[in-house]
Amino acid sequence: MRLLLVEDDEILGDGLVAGLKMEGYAVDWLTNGKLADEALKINSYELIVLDLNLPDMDGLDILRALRNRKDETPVMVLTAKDTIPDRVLGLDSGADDFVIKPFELDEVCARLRALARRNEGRSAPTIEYKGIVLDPASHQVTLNGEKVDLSQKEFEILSFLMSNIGRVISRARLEESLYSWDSDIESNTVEVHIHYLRKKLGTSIIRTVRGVGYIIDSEDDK
Amino acid sequence: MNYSLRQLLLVTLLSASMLIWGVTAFINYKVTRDEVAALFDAELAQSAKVLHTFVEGLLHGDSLAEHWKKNKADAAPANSTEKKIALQLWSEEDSLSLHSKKGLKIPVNAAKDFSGDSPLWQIFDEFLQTDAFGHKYARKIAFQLWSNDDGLLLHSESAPTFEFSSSVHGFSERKIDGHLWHIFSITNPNGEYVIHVGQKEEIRSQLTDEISSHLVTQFLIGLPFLGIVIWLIVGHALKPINRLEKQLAKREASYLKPLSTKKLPNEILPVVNEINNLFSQLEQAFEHERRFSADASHELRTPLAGMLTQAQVALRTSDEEVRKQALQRIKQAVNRMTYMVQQLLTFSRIESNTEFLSKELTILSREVVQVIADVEPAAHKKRIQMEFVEENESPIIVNAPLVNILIRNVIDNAIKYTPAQGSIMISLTGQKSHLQFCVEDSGPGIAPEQYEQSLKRFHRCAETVNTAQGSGLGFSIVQRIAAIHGAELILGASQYGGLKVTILFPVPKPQSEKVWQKKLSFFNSKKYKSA
Repeated sequence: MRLLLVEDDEILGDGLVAGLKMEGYAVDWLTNGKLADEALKINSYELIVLDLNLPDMDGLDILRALRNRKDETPVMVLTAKDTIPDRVLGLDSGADDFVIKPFELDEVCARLRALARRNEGRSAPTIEYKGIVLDPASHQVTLNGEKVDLSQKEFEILSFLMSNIGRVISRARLEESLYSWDSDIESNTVEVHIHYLRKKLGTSIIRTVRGVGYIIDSEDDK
Repeated sequence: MNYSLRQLLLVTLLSASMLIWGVTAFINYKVTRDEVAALFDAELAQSAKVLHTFVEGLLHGDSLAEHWKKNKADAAPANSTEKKIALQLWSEEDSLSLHSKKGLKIPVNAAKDFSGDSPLWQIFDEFLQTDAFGHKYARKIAFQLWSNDDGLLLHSESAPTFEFSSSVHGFSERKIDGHLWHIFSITNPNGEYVIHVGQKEEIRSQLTDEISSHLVTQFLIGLPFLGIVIWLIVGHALKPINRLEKQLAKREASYLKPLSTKKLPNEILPVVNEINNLFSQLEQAFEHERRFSADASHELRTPLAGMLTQAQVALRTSDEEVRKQALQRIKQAVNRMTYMVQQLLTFSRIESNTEFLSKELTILSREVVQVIADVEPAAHKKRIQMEFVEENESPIIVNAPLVNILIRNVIDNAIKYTPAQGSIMISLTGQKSHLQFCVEDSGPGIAPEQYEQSLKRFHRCAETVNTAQGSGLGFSIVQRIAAIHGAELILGASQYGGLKVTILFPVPKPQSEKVWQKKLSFFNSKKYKSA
């Protein structure tokens, strides 16, 4: 899942990147408000973590600009200002969640999962499909009650496809969600991961749409 | 010592009115006594004259004797006329007791003059019997009728049988049996007889005493009422103070909105205005404090969040490399926070008790050299060329430790923002009225429109926020210390391409130097003693 982190503090930003990467997010980190604003215009992210106190511009302005563009990407705001008016202003400007510094990394991750879940239109913490149960929090997948060992990238691809059941996801989109700017993408990695997923969960589960991408068909279609 | 305004006013007002009343009462007493004396004297004289006329008429004026005889027949009206005369005579003295009934000592020849049945005595008797004796003044008035030839002819019961006064005409005083008598004497034109009319002093003093005692009782009765009225009026007048007190008592320490000045008397208004003034100053100070602690906590939260996150990364990861880097970052964050806390402490220290700073003549270059010696290693690490030029330096009056902090902050800042192999130029130039301390660097500098912004607390430049680890307090500290010393902080562009920080310290005037030194030595010695 691709995530944009906007945080000017070097140590905090670095820690968040490391922590979020461990959670399987593909993290793009920007320390500058203007760059973040530009990046949001070009790229699409599943989640945005935004610090409000940026040296060159107010984080809330980035948020407002984003919402004005009808961009519904969930935004979690990081702030050191914990007064109620600050929170109200933040939420009213379009933030989906608020975390006060200093925070627990676990809490941030849990909240991010909840944000993603809500964005996908579900409220249950796990995703189920034809005997496959995917738990984003624990990064575990079970098939008919038995644990299936998946690599991180395999989990991400499965999670992305299962979050978008019945929709074709292009290969580029999958790649985008798997890798941040700084990672090298080999052209066939997605295919390799799909191959292993089919091996572990059954070949019928992910259908290839030639020249376009991949899809997990909705259960009632069959 | 505390006291009650109400009680004070009550006591002083009562005492003052008592004193004023006492003085006026005394003057009144004097005046009344004199007036009474004059009145009684006049009356005495009048009585004597009336008596004289009467006796003269009896003795010489046939008409009156004949009148009496004539009127003997038709008794009633004559009676009333004679009564009238007697009344007129005696009522002047508030009716006299006349020694007529028992032992009436009228000499024979004098008695001859009167008709045998002596209607005058009858009149007197009748009259006297009615109510004369009852009167309290009766025994204090007396008269005598002395014949030159025959001695005492007629006298009132209260009168002595010896001659009242040696004086034959006019006022005189005499003491008889311990009583003072005021006597008016009158001699008939032929010198045949003398009439003495006497009046005891007691009548007068009794009257004045009575008037005075009336006044005193009135005042004594009125005094408690006056006291109550004063108490109530003062209480009413002090009501605004009570209201104020209640208003203040209800307040919490943090509530510093101004007090209402509605319906306040002009005497209390300035006090309340001053209190409100103080309140607004306090509120500003509180607001300042609040903002400072809010800013400070905000500034501390971000590095804390960084540390916490890095710690969690270090705990979670199984990658040794990642853990090592996270721990390295934590160490870095701790260093940064240490610096920041230090700066915060410095800042709060110079923010408070600046009024009691001791200042002394200081050679600024010594401080600059000391700071440069301290920070040189840091500059050397970045291969920064540092140079110090000094000319025309004159000593200035400053608090050396504070100015040391100022110099350190400015130079530290320059080192922080100057890239490796850059250069820093430090100069100290004496001018007419100022000593100019100047630090120029070859760093990125600050855009002129950002100068004001960069002096704000916790402000850090966007371009350099990640390359230099500042606290955002450096310039605030510099600015504050400069303000304490009346020095001016100017930001500008450096000839090396970076920032130029100039601080102008005022140089004391030569003639005032001695006075200053005196003052300072006094101040310092005092401080030293108290410390």
